[in-house]
Amino acid sequence: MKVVKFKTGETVKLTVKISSDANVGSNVNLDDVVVKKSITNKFSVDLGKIDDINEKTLSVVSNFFVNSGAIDAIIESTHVECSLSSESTSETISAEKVKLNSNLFMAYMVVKLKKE
Amino acid sequence: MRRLVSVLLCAIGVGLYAQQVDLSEFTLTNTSSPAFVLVEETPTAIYMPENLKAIAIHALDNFGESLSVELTPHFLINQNRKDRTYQKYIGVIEDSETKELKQKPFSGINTTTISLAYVDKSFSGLPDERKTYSLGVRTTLLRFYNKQKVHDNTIGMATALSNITVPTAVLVQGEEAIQEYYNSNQEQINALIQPFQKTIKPLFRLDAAIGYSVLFKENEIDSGTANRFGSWLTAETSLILNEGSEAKTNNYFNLFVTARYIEDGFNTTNNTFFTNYYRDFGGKVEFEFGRIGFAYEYISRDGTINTERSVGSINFTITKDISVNGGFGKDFTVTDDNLITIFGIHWGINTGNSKVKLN
Repeated sequence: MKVVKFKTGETVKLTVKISSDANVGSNVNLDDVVVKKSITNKFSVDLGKIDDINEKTLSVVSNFFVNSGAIDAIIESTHVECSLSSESTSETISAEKVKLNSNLFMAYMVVKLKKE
Repeated sequence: MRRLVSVLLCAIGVGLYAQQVDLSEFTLTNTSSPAFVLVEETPTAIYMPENLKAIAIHALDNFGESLSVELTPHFLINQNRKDRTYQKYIGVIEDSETKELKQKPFSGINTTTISLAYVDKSFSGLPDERKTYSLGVRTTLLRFYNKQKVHDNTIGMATALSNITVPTAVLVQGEEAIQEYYNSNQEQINALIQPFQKTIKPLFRLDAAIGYSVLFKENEIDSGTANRFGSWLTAETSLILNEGSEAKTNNYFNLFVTARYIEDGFNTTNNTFFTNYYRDFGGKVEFEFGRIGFAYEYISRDGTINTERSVGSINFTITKDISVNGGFGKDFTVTDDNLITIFGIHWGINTGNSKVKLN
């Protein structure tokens, strides 16, 4: 699991940008507790001070529904970028995509948050 | 007839096989292509694709002698774009400030397809079958949805999707574990998304298509060619027959009207080719009941020759992913052999895993 480190005392923010022809709904979780649900293609979440979320696991899950039959091409052209930032740090991670069936696919990202 | 039976058995076999293993690489597709329509090698000459594929293949009962490949460039080019949204794709967008719903009637340009066809077919006045190659382009010029209905469904589905969570312990194991998780939770996931899965058709839609076909006069590459050109407009309006029902699919009554102009150089007498000019005008009524659809189309042809086409057709979805259709009736041909009996199978090409058996 990828680890992202932030300086102690800094506030961590997550920004998710989704580009896709498919309808999408997302959720953001800290240690499997949902902190944000979104039905938009761009959203942000203030995760709080790194000292409060140190050692927690952040996951982003975006589920996509495809109306047309072109799911493979739509998966290929779907991009989910998760940007983690603080006052001094910024890191962008591309979500992994998983095809589920001919109508559904999902994208996910998991990182461990640590203070340094 | 023997060929028709063979293809039917083949299609049913494929269908039964598809029940056992997920065949999502063969997805339900539209029932024809402009390249096929131009050479009149199709069970239905009036159609509008509903379920577009990036790549689709259309094959008829004379497998190997009639084949069409249809591409949808929107899905295949510029895949690194970062500004795609479902709302832009469907053309119903909520203004972020005023919350007013706006309809983009030209958003159907995204559905432009390019088709290529190879047909080995007998033509009137020619003693043997001739090889023809066709190129067709079609697009949706205009489409108008019930925008409130589309928006409500979009929001409903997106909200349902946002409620599907996956434990971190599953995510860190990767693709197979994730697919297994969705599989084992399919009842809950289906319950969430099923109310919003029904296809919503435009209230009105206008498609345009052009096609160009080349016929080799002597079945030799240097024998010279004859050409056929056609352009046509097709309008469709759809009514839901089971509005408000809890059925998995919407049943529709569809009404199509079409107008075509054709320059047909595939005519000969005493080995001399000549061109006929036609103006076609016709319509089609279609009933869609879940997996099965019944249609009747009539096209009147005026011009060098006055004739008509009158064909009934059936479209059947063998599984969720494969469809077949057949047509029976009278073709445009003015000679005695104007009976049309065509059977077609249509599927899209997808790749990649598809292991989750959700509805």
